[in-house]
Amino acid sequence: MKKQGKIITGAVSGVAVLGLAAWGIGMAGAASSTEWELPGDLVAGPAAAEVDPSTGTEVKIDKFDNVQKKAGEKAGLVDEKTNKSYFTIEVTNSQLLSRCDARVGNQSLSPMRTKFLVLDVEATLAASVSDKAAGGSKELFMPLVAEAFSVTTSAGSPDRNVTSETAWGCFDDSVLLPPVVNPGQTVKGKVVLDVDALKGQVAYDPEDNGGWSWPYGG
Amino acid sequence: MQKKRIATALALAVVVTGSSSGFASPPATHGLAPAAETTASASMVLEPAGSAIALKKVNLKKATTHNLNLRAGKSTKNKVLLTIPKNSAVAITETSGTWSKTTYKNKTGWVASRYLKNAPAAKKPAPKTQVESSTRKTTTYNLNLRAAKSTTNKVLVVIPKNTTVTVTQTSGTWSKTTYKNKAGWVASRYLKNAPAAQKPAPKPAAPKTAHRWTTAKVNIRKGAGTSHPRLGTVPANERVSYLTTANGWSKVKSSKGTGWISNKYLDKTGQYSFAVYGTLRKGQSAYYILRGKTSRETKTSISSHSMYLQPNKTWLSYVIPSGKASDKVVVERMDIKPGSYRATVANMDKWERFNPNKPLADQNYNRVLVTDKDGKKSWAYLGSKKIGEYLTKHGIRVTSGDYLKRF
Repeated sequence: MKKQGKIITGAVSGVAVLGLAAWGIGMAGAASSTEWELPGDLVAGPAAAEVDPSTGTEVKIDKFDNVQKKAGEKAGLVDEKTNKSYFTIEVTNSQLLSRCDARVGNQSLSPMRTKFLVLDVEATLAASVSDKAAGGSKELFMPLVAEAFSVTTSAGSPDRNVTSETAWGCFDDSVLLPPVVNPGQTVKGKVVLDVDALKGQVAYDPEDNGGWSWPYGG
Repeated sequence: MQKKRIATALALAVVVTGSSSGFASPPATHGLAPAAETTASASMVLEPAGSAIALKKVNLKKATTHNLNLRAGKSTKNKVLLTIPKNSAVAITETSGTWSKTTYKNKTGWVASRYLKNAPAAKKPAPKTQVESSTRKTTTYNLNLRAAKSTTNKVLVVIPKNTTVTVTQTSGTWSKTTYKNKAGWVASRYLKNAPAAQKPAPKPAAPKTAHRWTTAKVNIRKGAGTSHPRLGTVPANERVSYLTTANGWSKVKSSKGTGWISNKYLDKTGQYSFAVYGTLRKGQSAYYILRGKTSRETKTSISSHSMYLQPNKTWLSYVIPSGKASDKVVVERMDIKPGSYRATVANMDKWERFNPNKPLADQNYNRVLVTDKDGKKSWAYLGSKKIGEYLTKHGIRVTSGDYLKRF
């Protein structure tokens, strides 16, 4: 399995679950269930593919191990053998706002930092992922909450502190991205972040060990 | 990383604390003292050194037969502490030779045993007077009730045969009774014992009234369906008495009469308070949703739950069940005004992005009932299974359980 544009590992299928875990697929087992841990040989960061297998374009990786994507470019995890995606995620649009409509009440909310960064996101998790991973499909998911996102300023500083009380209160649930995507589902909606940097890269990196990033602002 | 280490250390501390908590067993020797007895219940004999007289601990009820000196010691040479009047009841706690130890008017001393007698046994309370079944009689004939106990006296009324009467007094061959508010005498030979009165059957327990709450302004109809005539419109949030269900409709008793309401507009859960722990607490950023909607706000706590925060995102708190009774979360129990209830629930659900019709595990928070330390049930938004676990993996537990005391 590999991340689109970046080979995660030439792993045998037996470690496919761990590979998925490394890239953010969580397991919602009970506390007593097996805790998913990133295997030591992946901690240093996976090797990168030279090209994105789905587009043939060159793969660029930032210093935080995020595969850099262009605005509107799809990212995801690909099974090397079948070249099919298990998981894809795409930031289709981004917008910086000074205010947003509150979900509750007739008021608008202001960011706690400088701007709300509103992302339009679409994500798909293949039903077949549960065949590759241990555990039933009910236990597999990809988290899509704001806490799974971070930004990198144009100066290159990472900032994972991009949520806020007011960002949480923006927009009706009907337009917001669901908190999770489950096997067999495609979901889309808005994610609202609260950022200082008006320009930079926004990353989806749920496990803080490398993910994908897209440019925003400026 | 440092915070993770701290969190681990805190968790360990909790474990240690938890292991030491528990209820102490009562000591094996603990027990109730036996009731006072009029006989000695000797349990220990002391043999003071140098004394040939046994000291005997006792528990005796006595009465003085004379005005009796209470002395500081068991000798007439000892000082008289006071004089106990004749016929006073005293408790003897110890005897030694011809002396008995007692306490009277807060002074403990010794009295000569020969001036004591056993106290009379406490009188048992007299049994309550009961009307025996034998006083209830049945007439064997149509029977004259006379003004007095003689056939020469005036007949007040004739008591029909097989009438049961209560005899309150007998005199010779006559029995006194009352019939139709007339008291008089009847010949006893025309009475027979009435069969024992049957105890009245216990009242069946009143069925527990089930209730429903209307979730909207809704029509109540004569039958279970929209084709039936409308009886009226029941306001939203009204508590109605539930009677039965058929075809997705419930028969209820409401302010607009008894009729049928679609189950879509009825809620079984009632108007529980909300137990809020984070930004919804008074003075916090989301409190505006509750402002003016509460009738009472009470600080309390729920046990067996833990609060977590995200590192560097300390506004985001979530609570999950911990299974450990020692884990507590400080909450404010918000009692919602009945008139605002449904709208407030809707707003709270909206704020927490909770939809009861969607899979619970796929949401950020789930609204569930919790019981606080005051025994009150309230709604609380707890971290859902998936996101709760995802966030907890990187989260920091707030050991105080108090959002306002987070760091």
